[in-house]
Amino acid sequence: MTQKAVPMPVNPAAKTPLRFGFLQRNPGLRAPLGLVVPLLLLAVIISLVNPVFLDARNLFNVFRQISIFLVLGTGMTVVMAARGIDLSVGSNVALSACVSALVLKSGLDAGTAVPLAVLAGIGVGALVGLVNGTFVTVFKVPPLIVTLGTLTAVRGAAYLVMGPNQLRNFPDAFSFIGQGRVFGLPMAGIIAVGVVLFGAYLMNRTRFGAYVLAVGGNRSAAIRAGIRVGRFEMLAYVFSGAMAGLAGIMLASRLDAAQAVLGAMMELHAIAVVVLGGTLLFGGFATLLGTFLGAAFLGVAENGLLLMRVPFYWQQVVIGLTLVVAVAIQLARFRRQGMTTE
Amino acid sequence: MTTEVTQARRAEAPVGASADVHVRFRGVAKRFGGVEALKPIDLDVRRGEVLAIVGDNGAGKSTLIKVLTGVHPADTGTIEIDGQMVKVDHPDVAKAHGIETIYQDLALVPTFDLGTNFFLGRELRKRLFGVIPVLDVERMRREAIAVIQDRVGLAITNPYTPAAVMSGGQRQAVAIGRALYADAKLVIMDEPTAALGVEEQEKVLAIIDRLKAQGVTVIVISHNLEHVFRSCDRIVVMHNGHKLAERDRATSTRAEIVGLIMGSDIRQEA
Repeated sequence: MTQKAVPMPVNPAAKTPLRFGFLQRNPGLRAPLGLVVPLLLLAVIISLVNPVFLDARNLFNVFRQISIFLVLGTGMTVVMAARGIDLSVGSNVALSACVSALVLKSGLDAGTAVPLAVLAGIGVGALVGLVNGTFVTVFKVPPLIVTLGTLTAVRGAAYLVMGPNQLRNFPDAFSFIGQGRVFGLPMAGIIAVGVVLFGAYLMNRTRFGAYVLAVGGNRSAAIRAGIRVGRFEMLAYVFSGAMAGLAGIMLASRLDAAQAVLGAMMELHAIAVVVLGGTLLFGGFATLLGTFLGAAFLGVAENGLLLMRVPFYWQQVVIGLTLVVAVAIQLARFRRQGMTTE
Repeated sequence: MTTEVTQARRAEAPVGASADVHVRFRGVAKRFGGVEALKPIDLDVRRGEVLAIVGDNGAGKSTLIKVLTGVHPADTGTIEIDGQMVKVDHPDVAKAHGIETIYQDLALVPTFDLGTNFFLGRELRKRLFGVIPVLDVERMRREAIAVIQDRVGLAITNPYTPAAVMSGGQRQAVAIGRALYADAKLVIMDEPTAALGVEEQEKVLAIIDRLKAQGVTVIVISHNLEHVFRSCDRIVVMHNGHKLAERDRATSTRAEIVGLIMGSDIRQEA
């Protein structure tokens, strides 16, 4: 005769302490995990087609390449959390790179010129963000229109300050930002990871992040809670602009050159990376781990296309379609959870 | 029914705690562009009473409330809170005077959980390693659960659920708990029972009774006269942006209030 399981006496008090898994407690970490399997799958496929992919030098390059998307993506994550969008980041990369190059080549000695160039690049970027933020928050122009306008205007400004020329051969201290290594790791990657971690801190553990998310998630509730929504929306654009400035510096440093054509289409990359990662296009929810994985996914995909000798123009097709598909998936998920986009 | 009758009733009201004026409106008006949303209004809200504001859509109920909460500051007139003249030009001012609002849409961020919604606009912080300021997410969650379970009487099953996927009752509980936690002296509820199931409506009415028992002044905007007559002490009828009448629940009837809401007494008032 088999022993029957004796039902345990239910102690109601024992049911009260609620236990939740780590991922249940951190939805920001859970949401983007769906990207891990596709990322690994992609890596396996690429390395089967071309084993060079797993080469340390290639992976190093991928890391350096995505570092710029990570910096731009962090800024974009903050703007999108506030239900905004920043299409001007690509042009802003060019303007910031050109302005810092002009400072570097202004005849100042390297000791002064390099820190000044970094400050000028980030400052110009932030200034563009301030213009975006002003039109969005003060004049209430939809962010899509404002930043579409500055996408063009800032590109024009880059040509105005730089002309058709290219500046090259920057001081070593400047080149270190985009090309240097620390303990064998690319400096650009270290900066990028630092920026992502800072972004994660901002969005998850500061009042600034909570307010930016509240503006995106329910603007009127934020207003009624006494939050000065305009200020935080403005700061989101300034942050995104400053990150575009930093990305411009990193790019100019890596290329050891600056010209007005830099950064074209980068806004699309940045947006794709963020949406792919699971940050909501309609604001209120942001995940920097998602942005990190999204950047890794797009970087690996682009590298794969390169290694598989797919013509360059296909990359654009892939990035464009990835963005649209990522949004479609996000919307489907959204509806399944019973949420609306309003 | 004439204004003198209302005045007489007011005079008859017992002197003491209930006659103590919590908020006094004098000539308060608000216009939006060409629309006179609120014509100059005089109103005394007594301490510890449950006051219903009724009226048709567009009668000025919400505007009256938003003037008091600082969402839409008044154009003219004065507001006294606790006998003190207060310029309510920002929601923070109302909050600083112990006035909390539970909006019809509950003003929750759909993607935020219990704790972050509960403390929206007044987040708790701590210092990491004594220097880096960080939100104290765990403490916000703990305190929110405690207030909702102890004072609102609703058990929380999953504190990590975003508001978008909470039940209507849970959302109400978060919004009401938020007001209670803020140590509200005056709670304003905008259509608290609309869009709720019968069982949840009963819970909300019980909470209103509970607030009254704690000596909190409650202003309720409602279309539901059954609920108004069950839980309110006095009823203010708004019509076309002005105060049409004030009635005590005990001496009024639903039929009278319905008539007033429809504006049938306009001629006598004028």
